[in-house]
Amino acid sequence: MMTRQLLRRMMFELIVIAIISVVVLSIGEWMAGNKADDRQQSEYSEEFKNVLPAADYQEVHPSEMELFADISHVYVAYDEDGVETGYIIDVTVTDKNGKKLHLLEGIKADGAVVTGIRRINDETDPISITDEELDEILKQVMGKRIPIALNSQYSSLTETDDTVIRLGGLRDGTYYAQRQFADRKGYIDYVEIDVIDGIITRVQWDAFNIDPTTPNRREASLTGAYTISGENWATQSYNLCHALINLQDPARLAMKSDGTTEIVEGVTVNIRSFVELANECIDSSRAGYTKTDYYEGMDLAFTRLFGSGAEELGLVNDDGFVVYSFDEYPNYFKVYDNNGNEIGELNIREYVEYYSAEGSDDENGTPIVLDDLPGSDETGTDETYETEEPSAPAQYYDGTEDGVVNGRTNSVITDSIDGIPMAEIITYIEGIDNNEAASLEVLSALNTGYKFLKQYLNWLA
Amino acid sequence: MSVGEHKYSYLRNLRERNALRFSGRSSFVREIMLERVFPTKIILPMKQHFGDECVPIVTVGEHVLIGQCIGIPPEGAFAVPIHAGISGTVTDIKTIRMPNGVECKAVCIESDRKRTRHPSVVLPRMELNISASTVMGIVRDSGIVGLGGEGIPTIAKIDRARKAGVRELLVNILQSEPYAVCDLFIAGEYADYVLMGAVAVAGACGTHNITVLISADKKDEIEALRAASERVTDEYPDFTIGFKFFRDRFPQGYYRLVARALYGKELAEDDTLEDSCGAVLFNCSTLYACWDAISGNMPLTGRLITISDGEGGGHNVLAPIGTPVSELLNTVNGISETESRVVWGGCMTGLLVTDPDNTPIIKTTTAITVVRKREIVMTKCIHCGKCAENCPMDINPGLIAKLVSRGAFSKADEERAGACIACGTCSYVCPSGLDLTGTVAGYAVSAQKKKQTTEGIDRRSIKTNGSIPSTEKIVIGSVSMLESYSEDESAGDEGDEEKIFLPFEGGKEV
Amino acid sequence: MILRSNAPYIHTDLNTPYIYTNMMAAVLPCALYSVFCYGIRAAVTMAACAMLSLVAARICDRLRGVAAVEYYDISAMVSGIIYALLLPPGTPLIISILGILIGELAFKQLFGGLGGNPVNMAAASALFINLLFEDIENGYIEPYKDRLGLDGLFTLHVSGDQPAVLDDLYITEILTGSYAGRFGTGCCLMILIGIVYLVSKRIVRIEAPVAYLATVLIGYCILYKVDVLKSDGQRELLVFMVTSGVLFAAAFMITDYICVSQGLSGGIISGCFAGLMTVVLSRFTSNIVYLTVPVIMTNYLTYTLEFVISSVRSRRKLRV
Repeated sequence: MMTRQLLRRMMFELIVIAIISVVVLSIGEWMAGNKADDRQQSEYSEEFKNVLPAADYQEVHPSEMELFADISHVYVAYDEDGVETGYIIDVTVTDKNGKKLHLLEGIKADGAVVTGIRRINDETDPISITDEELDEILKQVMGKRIPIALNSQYSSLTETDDTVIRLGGLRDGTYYAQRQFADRKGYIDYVEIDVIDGIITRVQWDAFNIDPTTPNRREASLTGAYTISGENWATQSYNLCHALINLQDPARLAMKSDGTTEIVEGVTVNIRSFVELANECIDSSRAGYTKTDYYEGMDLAFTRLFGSGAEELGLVNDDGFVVYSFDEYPNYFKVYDNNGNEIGELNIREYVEYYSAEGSDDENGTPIVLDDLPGSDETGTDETYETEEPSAPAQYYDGTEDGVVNGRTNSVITDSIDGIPMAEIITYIEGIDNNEAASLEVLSALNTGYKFLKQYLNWLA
Repeated sequence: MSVGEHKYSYLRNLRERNALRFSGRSSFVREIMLERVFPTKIILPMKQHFGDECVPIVTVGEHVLIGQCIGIPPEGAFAVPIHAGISGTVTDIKTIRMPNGVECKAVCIESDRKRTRHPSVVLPRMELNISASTVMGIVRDSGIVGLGGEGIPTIAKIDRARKAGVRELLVNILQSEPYAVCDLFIAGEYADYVLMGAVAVAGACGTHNITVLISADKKDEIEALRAASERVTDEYPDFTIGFKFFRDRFPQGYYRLVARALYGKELAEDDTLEDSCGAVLFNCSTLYACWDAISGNMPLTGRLITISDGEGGGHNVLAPIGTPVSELLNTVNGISETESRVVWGGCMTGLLVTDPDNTPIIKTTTAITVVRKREIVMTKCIHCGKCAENCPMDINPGLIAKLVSRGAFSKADEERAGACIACGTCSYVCPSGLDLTGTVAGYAVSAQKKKQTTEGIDRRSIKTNGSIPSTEKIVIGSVSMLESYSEDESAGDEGDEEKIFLPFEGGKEV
Repeated sequence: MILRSNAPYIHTDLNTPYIYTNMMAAVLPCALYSVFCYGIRAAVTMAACAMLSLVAARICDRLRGVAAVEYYDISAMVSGIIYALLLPPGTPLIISILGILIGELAFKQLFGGLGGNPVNMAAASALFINLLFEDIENGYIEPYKDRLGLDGLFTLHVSGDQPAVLDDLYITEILTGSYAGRFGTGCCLMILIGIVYLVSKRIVRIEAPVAYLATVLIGYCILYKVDVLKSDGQRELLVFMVTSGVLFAAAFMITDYICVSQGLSGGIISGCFAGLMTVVLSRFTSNIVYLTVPVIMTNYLTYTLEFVISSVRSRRKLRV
C-alpha cells in the first residue's frame, strides 16, 4: 500500500482538487444559471410578446394549479421595476366533444384585463377555429375584464322567462342613480340600468365607498372584505339585478317593510336602497334623464353648494363615480311643505328640475318648498305610458306592505357560466358568427384563467 | 557553473526528463562526515577486481604490516597485487564466497592494534617528477583498480588508453546512486589530489586534456574543483582541465551513458570508450588513490566508503580494505539487522549481505547501505510503460521480462535484452512491484554465459555487474610484478628519466 | 506482498494503488460535477457502481484463488466510477448495476483481472448497456434542477428526456456543463482539471490523449468541412469537442495504460487511430458508440499489437 506520508499527501491533493472543483462548479452554475435565465427570458419574450409584453417573466408553480388540470403553466410578468404587471396562463381547454384548444392568455394584474391570446397549435384533437376567428374574438376581448361571456349566453338565460312585463314609457339609454348619503360603512349605493327597446336589459347595483382605498362593495364582498350572511353580496346583487331584469318592475320584487324580499332566491339583503334607486332610474328613463344628465345634475348641486363641479372638487374617483355624501348638509335635498314640515327629499333630477324651473341661484342649503316643485305628484314627463300592472313608485317610498306582487317565484338567478356565477361575469361580447362553439371555448379558456387567478391571487387583491 | 550552460544527459529531447534523479531528494542525501575505522580484523579476498585471482604470499601466523603485499597475481595473470591495510597476524587463509558470487581464497588478518607501517611505505615519495612508465608502475603495483565499482585494474585502462591514443581523460564524479556520496566527498574534500592524480594518469595515458564530469547541482564540489583546477594548472601548465556539467540522473556514470551524453555515440556492448570516443574515464576515487600511491607512497589499502542506514544516519568512513561489514555497521548507531537488510553496494545495484561478519568490503565496494525491509506490493503488469520510459539503455524491460517468462528467448534477444546494465531503474519505478531488473539482467547474464560457452569466447569477457567486458586489447597479464616498467613510450612532460623508485614491497616468490 | 531479495532494495512509492488513487483524484472533479448537477442520483449511482465493481473484483479474485492481491483495489472502483460517469442521469440503478456486473465479469475477470483485460472495462460496459437498453439514451435530465430527487432511479424505466439541444446553449453553459448530458462527461473544465492533474503528476503520458484530441479536431474539420474561420464553424467545433465526451474519453479511457499503448510512438498511433475512428463514426452512430467503440478497437489492437510486432520481427530476421 502507500506510505503514510504519501497517503497524507494524497488526501491533501484530493481535498485541494475537490475545493477547486466545487469552486469552479459553483462559479459555473452561477454564470450558466444567469445564461439559462437569459435564454429563458428571451424565449419567454419571444413567446409572450403578443400576449403580454413585459420586461421580465417568471414561471410560478402555485399550489392552486393543482385544482386546475387545464392549466399547465403560469407565468408572472414584471415591468422594469419588478412590479407585477400581469399573468400569462398556459391553458388547454377541452370541449364536450373532446376537442382541445391550447392557448396562452395574458391577463393584466391591474383590472384583470385581457391583454392577448396566442394559440399554441399543439392540440392532439384541435377544435375548429381559424386564426381569423381567433383574431376576431381577440379583438372583442382585448382590454376587457374577465370573466367574459357571450351575449347569447346572457340572453339565453334571460330568455328563459316566458313573458316580459314591460314598464311603459321607458326611453332607451343608460340611467343612473346614487344615494346622497353614505351608509354606516361609508358605502354609497348606486344603480345603473340600460334600457333597450323600452326594456330594462341590464341592471347593476353596487356601492362605492367614500374612503377611496376601500374597494367597491361588490369587489369587497368577493375578496371577503365585506361579508354578510347568505350568499355573498356580489351574488345577491347580481341575483337581484337579474330578478329586476326578469320582472322589469322594482315593485314586483315584493320588498317587505323590513327591506327584504322573499321571492328572489338567494337574496337576503335589504334591498330598499336598490328598489329606491331602481325606481329613480326608471323615473329618469321615463324622463329621458340619462346618466350624463345625472352627473350634470350632481355638478349643479355641487356648484350651488360649493361653487364648482364635482371634477373641480376632486370628488370623482378612479372609476368615474362622484364620491360625496351630503352628511354635512342633511337638509339639502329635503322638501318641506308650506308649513315647514318635511315631506320628503328630492332626487337629483327633481332637484335640477326645481332649480331650472325656479331659475334661482340661492345660497346653500335653502329649504325647498313643495309648492315650488313642478309636478311634484308626477314622475317624469307627461308622456303617456302603460303598464300592465301599473304601480306608483311613491307607493313604495313609505315601504308599503308585502306580497302583493305577481313576482315569479321560480326565479333562478344563480346560473353560472364556466362555473362562474353570472354575478361575477363582467364582460359580455358578441363572439364570432357561425362558430359559437369556438367562441365559447376561447372564453372558457379565459374564464379558467379567471378562476385560477381568483384563487391564486385571492381575487386580484 | 553559470546559468544556461549546457547540461549533459544521457537522455535526449522529449525523454530528457524521464530518468530517475535521486540527489534532488533530501531523503537520499546524507550529511557528509568522515570517520576512520580501525577494524579488529580484516578479510582480504584474493579476487577483488575484474580479472584473475591473486595468490596469497603470506602464511598463517605470519605477522604483516600496513602496506605489505599479501597477494600477487600469478605469472601472466590479469590481476594486480593486494596489500594489507592493518598490521597484525595472519590467522587464516580460507575460501570465502562474496555476495557477488565470487569464491576465492581470503587472507584473514587479526589486528595487533599497532598500525605499524611496512618500511617501504613509511616515507612519502620525495620526488614527484616521474615518468609515465613510473606512474604506470606505481599504479599497477599499488593494486589500484576502478574504485567506482567497475573494478578494472587501472593499469589496464591506462594501457588501453595509451594504445588507443586517447585525447581526453574524463574524471567521473557522476555518482548518483541514492545514499552513496563517497566520490563526491573525495571530489569536494580532496579536489587537489583528485586533479593531481588526474594529471598524473593523463600523463600516463598520453593526453593533456582533463575533463571533469559532474552533476550541475553539486555546487560545493564544483567550487572546490574549480579552485583546485587553477592551482593544478598553475603547477602543470601543459594540462588543461575542463568541466562538463550533467543533469543529475541515475545511473549516468556508466561509461556507455557517458559516451552517449558527451559524444552522442551509442556504444555497442564490445565497444570501448577509448576506441570510440578517444577518451578514457576514471572515477575520481581511483584518481585519488593513484595520487595517494604516487605521492604518499602508499598502495591501495583502504578506501572511502559510504555507510548509510537508510533512515537518516550515515556517513563516509575511511576503512581498510577487507574490513568486515559488521564492523563498519558498528560505526552507525541504531541499525537493527532484523528489520533491515544490509546491502553490499548502493541500494539500487548492490548485493544483499547475508553474513556481515564474514563479508569484507573490497576495493570496488563504494557503499554499505542498510535498507529498511519494505514490502513491495506486487500486482500484475498494468502496462504503464514506466520501465521503458526510464530505462537508460532504451530497452523495454516489461516486454522483455514478459518474453523471458514465456520462454520467448529469441524475441527477448531481439528486444536487446543483452543491453541491460542492471541499474535497477525499471524495478525501482515499476508500480506493480515486478522484479524486472532481476528477470532481465538475470537473463542477460545467463545469455551471455551461454554465448560464451557455446561460442568459446574468452571467459574474461564475462560481464559482472556494471563492468566493462575485458577485451583482448588489454595485455598486461604478461607484466610481472618484478619486471621493470615498460618505458617504450615516454609520456609527456613528465618524461624525465628518473631512477625508478619502487615504493612497494616486491612480490615474493610463492 | 513480496520482499525482493535482489536489487534494487528501494522502490518508488508510486505503486499501483498510488496510481489508481491518483486516477481517483483525477476523476473526482467529474464525479463532483455529476453530484453537483444531478444530486443524490449521481452519488447513489456512482457509489453503487464503485462498490459493486470492487466487490465483484474481490469475489472473482477469491474464486480464481488469487488471494495474494490483498490491497484495496482502487482500480476497480475507478473503473466503476468512470463507467457510471458515462451513463445518462436517468438510467435506473438496476441497469447501471447490470452493466458493472457484465463489464467486470465479461471484460475483465474472464481475462484474468486487472492488467489482463483486453479492453477498457468502463467503455465496454457503457457500450454494452447502451446497446442492450437503447432506451437509456432518453434518460437525460436538466442539471441543477432536482438535486434531491431520485425519480426513476429504483424503477425499471428510464426517466428523463432527450439530450439537450446544444444549438441554443451559450458558450458558458457548454463550458460549465450546464446542460442535460451524461453524468460526468458534461463539464470540460472538470475534465481538464483531471487531465492536468494526471499529467502533472506524471501518472499518464500525454501522447495518446493529445494525439487523439488532435486527430478528432483536425479530422472533424477536414471530414465535415467545418470552416474554423467563421464563428459558426468555431462554435460547431467547440460544441462537438466539448459536449460529445471526447475530452472525457481522452482523459480517462485513452490514458488507460492497460489497454492503450503509452509509449511515444505507440501512444501517438493509438491516439490517432482512435481519434480517426471517432470522427468517422460521429456522423453515423450514436454518441456512446463513437465514444467507446474507437477506444475498444484501439484496446483490442493494442492487445494484439505486441505479439504481432514481435512475430513480424522474428520472421523477418529468420528470412534474412
